[in-house]
Amino acid sequence: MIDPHGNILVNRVLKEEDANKWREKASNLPQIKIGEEQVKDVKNIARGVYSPLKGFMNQADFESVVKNMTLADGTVWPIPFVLDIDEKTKSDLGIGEQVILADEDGNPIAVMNVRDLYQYDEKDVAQNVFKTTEEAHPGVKMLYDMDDWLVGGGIELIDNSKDPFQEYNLDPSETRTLFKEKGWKTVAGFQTRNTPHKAHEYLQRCALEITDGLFVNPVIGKKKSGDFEDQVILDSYQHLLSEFFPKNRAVMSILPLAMRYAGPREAVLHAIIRKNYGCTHFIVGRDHAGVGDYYGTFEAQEIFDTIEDLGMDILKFEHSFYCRKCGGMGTAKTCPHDKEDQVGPSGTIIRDMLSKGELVPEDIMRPEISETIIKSDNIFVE
Amino acid sequence: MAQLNIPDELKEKLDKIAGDSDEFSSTDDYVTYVLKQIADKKLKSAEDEKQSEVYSKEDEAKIKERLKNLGYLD
Ligand SMILES: [Zn+2]
Repeated sequence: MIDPHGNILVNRVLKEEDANKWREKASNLPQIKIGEEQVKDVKNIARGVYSPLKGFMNQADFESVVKNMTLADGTVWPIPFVLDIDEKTKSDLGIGEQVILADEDGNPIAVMNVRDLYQYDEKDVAQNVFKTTEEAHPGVKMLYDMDDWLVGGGIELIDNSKDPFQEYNLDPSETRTLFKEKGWKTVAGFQTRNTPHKAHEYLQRCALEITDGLFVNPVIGKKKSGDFEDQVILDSYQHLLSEFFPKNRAVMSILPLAMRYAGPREAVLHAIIRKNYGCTHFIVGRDHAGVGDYYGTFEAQEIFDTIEDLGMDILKFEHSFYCRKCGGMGTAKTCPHDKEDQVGPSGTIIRDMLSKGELVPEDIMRPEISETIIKSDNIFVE
Repeated sequence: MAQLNIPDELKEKLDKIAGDSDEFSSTDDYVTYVLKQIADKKLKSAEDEKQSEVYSKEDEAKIKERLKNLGYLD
């Protein structure tokens, strides 16, 4: 089994009796309200998804991540995970004290040990992490919307609930046990935010030809209008895996995570997360986790050649398509024919046809998958 | 900004180091930098001492039970 990143599988989930003690004490402690996406980060930290992170970053780790893409101790880490607070909240906190992180309804989610309070230069962070300071970039916009102060420190999870989709929500300790029980020595991780089309399935099959197992890991969470609803992604993948992959070769579990659209840096984060789940291989297509024209087509693949080896194999794929002349799936690496013969997975066509209740052409999407999607009440996010 | 008291001789030494350095514009900057390094290290090791719970045999049995209940394992 592959070691977790930084060689430690973090577990900061409190035992039920300890969690209850904190629930009782919570009203007497200072509180920081955190949003839905931050709740996901807190849970991911506690469950080891972001190993070796044990909490929100202190200034030394934060600045090192921004400038060097490593934690202060040199471990590769591409994206800052920080908790922002306003001046007023900051004045209520002291180093060494404990603070309750509560959701928008005031439910205690975690307890945090305050270790650092610091400020940052948002333009400098944006340029380094997102390679742009333009507010039109959704990740940069999120950064600019943050409050002025950051609080760093370890967290311990009080609320370990897993809704929605708890039946598909496995922790790294669970996926690792699952892979071991299935006898998989090598596992290819696949990140997605879409329903399965044939081009993605082709990459999954290519990966599975050289590994023991396939781990489909859809990102669940905040979406843009026009994106597929989470339920539709899960139903369609469930159908694909149960009907078109051998029973003991492919599994799916979700990853609740807010996209930052940081392109290459985000691809590194996605790989590290899958390493923590126990994947030995990770599939990175072109334009992974990008947005607009901020990143070059190959940047998310090339970045892995510039960082210290993560100890996992990054499977770098070209865009894949169905070629009418070849009579099968391929990429520019395996098919010599003209563009006119190559049918790629056009997002516009898929969207238009499915929203009209029509089956997408078979070259692009399996009819069974189209049917599963059309049957859903809500296909796209409004 | 807060003020701290330190021995005069130490202050002289620190003035000398900060003055000779290109990195620090003042003794205050130098002292802040050095003390922050030490403080962060100390606080971080306090965090690390709170060892993450290691998964026990009992946990593993629970994990397998959940995987079976959810249909991931037979
Ligand atoms: Zn061809």
